[in-house]
Amino acid sequence: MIEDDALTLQRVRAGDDTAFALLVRRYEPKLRAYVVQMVGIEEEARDLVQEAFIRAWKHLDQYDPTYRFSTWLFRIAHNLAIDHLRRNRRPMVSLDLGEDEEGDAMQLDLPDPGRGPLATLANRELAAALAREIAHLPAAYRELVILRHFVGLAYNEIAELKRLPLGTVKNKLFRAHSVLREALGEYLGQVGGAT
Amino acid sequence: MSGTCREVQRSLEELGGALPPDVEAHLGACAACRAHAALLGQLEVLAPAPADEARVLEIMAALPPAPWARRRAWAWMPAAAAVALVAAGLGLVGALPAPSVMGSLPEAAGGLLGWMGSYALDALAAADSGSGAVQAVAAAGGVGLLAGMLVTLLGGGWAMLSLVRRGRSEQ
Repeated sequence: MIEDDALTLQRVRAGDDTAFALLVRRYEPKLRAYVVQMVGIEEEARDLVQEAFIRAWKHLDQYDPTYRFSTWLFRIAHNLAIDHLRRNRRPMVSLDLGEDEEGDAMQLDLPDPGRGPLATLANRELAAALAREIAHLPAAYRELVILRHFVGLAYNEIAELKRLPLGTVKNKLFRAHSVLREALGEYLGQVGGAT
Repeated sequence: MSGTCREVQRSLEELGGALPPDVEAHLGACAACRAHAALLGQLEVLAPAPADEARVLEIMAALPPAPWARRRAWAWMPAAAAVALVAAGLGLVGALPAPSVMGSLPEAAGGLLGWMGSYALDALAAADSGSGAVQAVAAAGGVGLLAGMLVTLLGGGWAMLSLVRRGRSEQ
């Protein structure tokens, strides 16, 4: 577990309720980015993330500190999002943690370069091309790219969340980046000065 | 792509921030590695922005009372019941119990329960009939006595139960 989280959780358990705000501040943006990728609607993602924090708060005594707190939190949010999608009979996206074994179709929406994180890129053509190329990546690569760059997870957080060896995560992301670099060479030359 | 390019690109993935001079020098001469660095730079921008403070406050406000705080309060209930037991005992006997009894609340609870029981039995024995028994009890302490008995029974029972459970868990 991340040492910072361990200390913060100790404070929470000792009765310092405000310490939980540190965890909310630390993980709310990443959780929301993650859930948005699953449910596709920002407002729904906000509500689901709030519910995830409430559940974590209520069941903090069930948290197993041999895992990262963030992994536990993401699993809670993941399960809430899956339940939400099932209730609303919407197709599920590809951010599967290996827990959904009911054979539901997994399909990631094409990242929209006009909305969300891609809209922050100054180069509109690059944003559109990046969205297109990420959507064309093999599912296993695409998922890791989303977790790493859209959700903002560290390599070791992704490894624990996906239950993959750290080396596998690094290798797959390196290959994914290489594929993207090859596909986007023209745009990246403009951005990075490559010839 | 050369082995050097692969190493440089790997190091770009893991280093971030300031690059070693040899990597910087390689980037100056290699378009492919420069493109790799540019891609990583663009992807960095996609990371979520820091949390909005208003949103943090909104989530904190939505949290229910801490369950572990409730459990802590619940853990004090046997002690509170024991205090109520002593207070009821003091009220009923009108004097301080012996120091040995004060030193051991469960024993005091047992003693008080016994005293209450024998007091009630004496009252019943002195009565000629059921209604006489009620009148005797009412005369001996009335509603206050009944309330005291109730508190004593509940508090004493709770304290005893806690002691038994603690004894079992320590075995």
